[in-house]
Amino acid sequence: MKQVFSYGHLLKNLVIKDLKLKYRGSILGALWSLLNPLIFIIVYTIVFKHIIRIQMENYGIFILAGILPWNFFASAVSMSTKSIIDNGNLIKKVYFPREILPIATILFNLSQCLLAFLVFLPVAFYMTGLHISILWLPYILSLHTMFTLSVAFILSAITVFYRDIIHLTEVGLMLLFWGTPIIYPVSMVPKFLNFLINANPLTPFITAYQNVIYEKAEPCLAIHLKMWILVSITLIVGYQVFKHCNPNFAEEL
Amino acid sequence: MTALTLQGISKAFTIRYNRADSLKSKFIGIFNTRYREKKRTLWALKGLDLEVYRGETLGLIGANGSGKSTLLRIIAGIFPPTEGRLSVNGTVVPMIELGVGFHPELTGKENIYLNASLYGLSKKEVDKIYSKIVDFSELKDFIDTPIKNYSSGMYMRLGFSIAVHIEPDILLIDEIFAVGDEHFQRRCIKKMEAFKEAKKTIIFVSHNAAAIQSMCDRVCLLNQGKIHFIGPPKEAIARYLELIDGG
Repeated sequence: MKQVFSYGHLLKNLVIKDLKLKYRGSILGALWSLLNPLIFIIVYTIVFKHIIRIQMENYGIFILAGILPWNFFASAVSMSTKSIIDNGNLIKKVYFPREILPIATILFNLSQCLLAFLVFLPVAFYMTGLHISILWLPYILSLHTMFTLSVAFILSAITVFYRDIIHLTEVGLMLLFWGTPIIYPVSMVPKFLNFLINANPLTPFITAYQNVIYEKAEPCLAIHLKMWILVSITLIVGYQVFKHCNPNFAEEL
Repeated sequence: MTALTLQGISKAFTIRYNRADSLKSKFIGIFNTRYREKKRTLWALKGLDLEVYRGETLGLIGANGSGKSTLLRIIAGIFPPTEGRLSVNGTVVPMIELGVGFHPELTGKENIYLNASLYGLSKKEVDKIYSKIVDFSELKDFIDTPIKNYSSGMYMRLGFSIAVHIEPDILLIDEIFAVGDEHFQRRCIKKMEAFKEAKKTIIFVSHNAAAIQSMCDRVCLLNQGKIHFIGPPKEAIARYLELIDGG
């Protein structure tokens, strides 16, 4: 892990490369990274305010508070499955700490998520008012990022040996989306399905976002605890899995 | 002063037939032997002992499959040895392939920074050698062009130029002397000689007997994963030819 820090410049360059390449050749360029979430937010607000009307105040804000972090998680995780195998050529020809690759994927997606929040938060403030609870956001986002990174460590490493993981992840993410209280509040879930929502590791993170952005409240102690426990367990397990698989990457690819 | 010590280095590769790459075939394999993965172990290197001294240029020769590239990769840290101990004093830059990690959409300049950071250099360190890299590659007029528009020779020149300007303590070169035209090749050889004078260690894999003889202080002849002979270049090449004729 210490080595990862000495290769910080590589990490930075890989993230910058992805950002540069994303909009290279397009006329609007980096403006797209703001336009994309802006259009996303406008569409969601219109659809859930005027078409699908659910009895909930500022339902659009509620959805976006959960769906933006979800988008970060989902795209980071699905990209991470390929982060090692798509760089097979690098791994076979040069030595560098391999952890850099999934970390770069996560950071790239995190940057996209931050831009989306940059567009969304003013809208949310305008519609529902500013509250001090928003100061919790960086804390939640950090824990959420660590959790996403742990998942990325596991998936990127195992995909090297079983390519099925790529497809399994796509399906898994779809199921997870509906199993997470993103477009519906937990209070809408019937009692007999509650256990599913509670067992879902993403629930505490998404709920925390909704707490601080939509409900303007501090997350309760149970949520804090759940997030910390999840992050510490998955980070240890994820990194160990990655470390265990790491020596075989060059041969398997 | 040793730059590199190898003690009893062995490397086994698992060769798989009927590779169970997916969970499905793995699962079926439990019940049906026909789908079960078959494995065979191939020892690419068998108990290598080798010391390379600081400032020395060591040649590695041997037939295809004798373990030359595997040895370079182990020294570079790309994969670990199955058995044995390896100790390296100093930084190692492998030139197993030129322009590894180049992205076609990025410009020459952007690729220099990306590629150098792959070898562990910081932005400041690249800033210092940047103009030298560009001058040596003779690509000044194309440095802001995406490298997808480069010819293959230009691509190689840029790759080589970056690798030699990183100035590692130990440079590993795998068969890349067919770089560029005659003019550029001569400059490459000059650069290598400057390297030797600066007391850097070079490990050099080649099938080019003339290059081996003129560049190397010692030559190690590998045969089927073992050191067959190690000594003066002339003798090593003679032994190599003997080995081919004998086999």
